[in-house]
Amino acid sequence: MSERKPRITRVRGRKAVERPPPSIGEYEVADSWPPLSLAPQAIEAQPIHKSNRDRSRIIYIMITIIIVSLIWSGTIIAITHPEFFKSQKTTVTATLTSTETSTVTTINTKIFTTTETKTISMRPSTSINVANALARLLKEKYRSIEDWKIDSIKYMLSGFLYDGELREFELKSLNETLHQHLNLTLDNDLIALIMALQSAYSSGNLNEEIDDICNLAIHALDIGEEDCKSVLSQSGGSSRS
Amino acid sequence: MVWYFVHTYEDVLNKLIDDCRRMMPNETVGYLVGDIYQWRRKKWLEIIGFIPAPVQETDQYHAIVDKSRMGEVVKLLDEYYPDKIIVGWYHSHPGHGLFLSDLDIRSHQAVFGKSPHVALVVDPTTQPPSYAFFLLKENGYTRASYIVWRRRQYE
Repeated sequence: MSERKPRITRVRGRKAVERPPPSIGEYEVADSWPPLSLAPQAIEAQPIHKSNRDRSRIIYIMITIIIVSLIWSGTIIAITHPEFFKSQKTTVTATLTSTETSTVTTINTKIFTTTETKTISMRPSTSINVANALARLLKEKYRSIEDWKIDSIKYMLSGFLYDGELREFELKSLNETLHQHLNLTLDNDLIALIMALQSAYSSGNLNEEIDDICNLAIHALDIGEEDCKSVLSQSGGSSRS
Repeated sequence: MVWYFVHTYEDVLNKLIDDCRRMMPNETVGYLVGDIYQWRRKKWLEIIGFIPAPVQETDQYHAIVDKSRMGEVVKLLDEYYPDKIIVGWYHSHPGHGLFLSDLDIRSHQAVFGKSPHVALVVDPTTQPPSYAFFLLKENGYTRASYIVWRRRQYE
């Protein structure tokens, strides 16, 4: 065994070497994300010209001088002519912004064009609870389906919801998997069901919201109300099965 | 202006995808090798190779790395990529789509912490094979921008 410290641990705090990324002059582009056509300028590692650098420095110095001059002028006027400031009334508008811990973005998945943003408070364990609950509801609808297909959807959803966000590419992936395994489309009813589950598990109000959630489940999955309530009453745990 | 964070090469990626295909229907896992650079005060990461991890156990949904054999990875790194470092890890999701599961996030946090290492997820079942790079953020993960270069000498 090598006596040297593994290189894996050496990277932390290590100073990155100054080097331009590869450019089109050297290579061809095989693939990129975002697509190259959206950001053609990003890949050209042009050398920094001295004249550009000098120009930037001059502009920076000039802006700094102007700001410092304005501050000094204001201070001097305030000291020598305080009456300028006494007659003025200042109105302060305070904007209270409600802070939410995360954001859920839903896409109209039928056409994937309109985007609506909804904000829901999330805790990390919520994603697992939501995924478990949805998996149980799906299992209720597709009773003969193999467990691995439901598990696949469950793991995918818990991963996607980890940060409380469902992005467009995540919705597309989820839609493809639902379609592939269950021939089910991720439509607005199903998204509404996922969001309602998120909301209920986040706030800890599953029992209070169970009627609303099951109404959504009836529309989204075409399952019975009693079956839905029975399934959800078993889905309170946070451990992954 | 979009800054591509991950830079890699088509031949490297193709070999990695072949490795994922070979392990199907099971998952596979390994380490990405390269270096982290800086240009105009922006970091970028180059992947020039990969090392499959010694796996203790694997099935369609899991691939557990045999930590007792990590010395082998370090030895391969020293032998084949003497001046390079591990810049991230990859694993396959055969037929499950491109995302980081809860477990993937915890594994990434445990090994790489808050450093700029990337996680590459490959779904070798799609045609063409699909893949995405991810970076961890405060409460989850985000997709990392990438560019795959085709070396002219491989034309």
